[in-house]
Amino acid sequence: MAKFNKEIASNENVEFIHVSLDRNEESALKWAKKENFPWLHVMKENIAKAGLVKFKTENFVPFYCFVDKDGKVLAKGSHASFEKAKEVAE
Amino acid sequence: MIPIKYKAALAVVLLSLSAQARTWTSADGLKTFEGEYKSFNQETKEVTVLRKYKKLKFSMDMLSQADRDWVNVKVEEIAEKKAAANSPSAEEQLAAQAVGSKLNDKTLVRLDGKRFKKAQIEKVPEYYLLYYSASW
Repeated sequence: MAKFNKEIASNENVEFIHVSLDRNEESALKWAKKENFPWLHVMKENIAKAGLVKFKTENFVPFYCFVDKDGKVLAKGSHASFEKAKEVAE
Repeated sequence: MIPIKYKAALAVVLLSLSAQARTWTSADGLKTFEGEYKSFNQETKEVTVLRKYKKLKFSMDMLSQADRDWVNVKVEEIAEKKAAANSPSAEEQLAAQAVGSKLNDKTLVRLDGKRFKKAQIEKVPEYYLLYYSASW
């Protein structure tokens, strides 16, 4: 959350999307309420519709992937992804 | 984000704002009159002014230097406003993206109080940081 607030929240060039792998919305909601997540979420049932299946190339979570608007993967992993976000900040 | 349907209305409002009465002065500085600027014809270099519901056309060189400068600035302002009104909306720009086109209120939610509510991206990002995770 701290990284999000520092690197993404005010960054007009980057949108942070939480792709929920929780089996149901209830679990995702419970977690989101507990942590008061400010970002946008894609629920598990909408991941394919949102075109986000192909970017989840690793089996572990959490998994971060930094892509451009055309879907080109520019970084994977937390550190590399947030570094990229910092690089492209307007 | 400006919905497309409001763009035309916005353009009309912006253009109407340009219609304001002002004092015009002849090139020799001897004559003045009140009138609203209506338009400028780039080809003929004529300014159209509305005076008492009548449209009057003047060649730019009949007007004072201050008026000519004012018209030039006005023409630029209106051109910029028109360009802004005609530029693609955030929705349109997102729709043109491979990633952004699928991230809309059909696939996105945001926490709103005690529940998730349909949401959409409020900016036009060039990049996306995807965070795959779960509560477990």
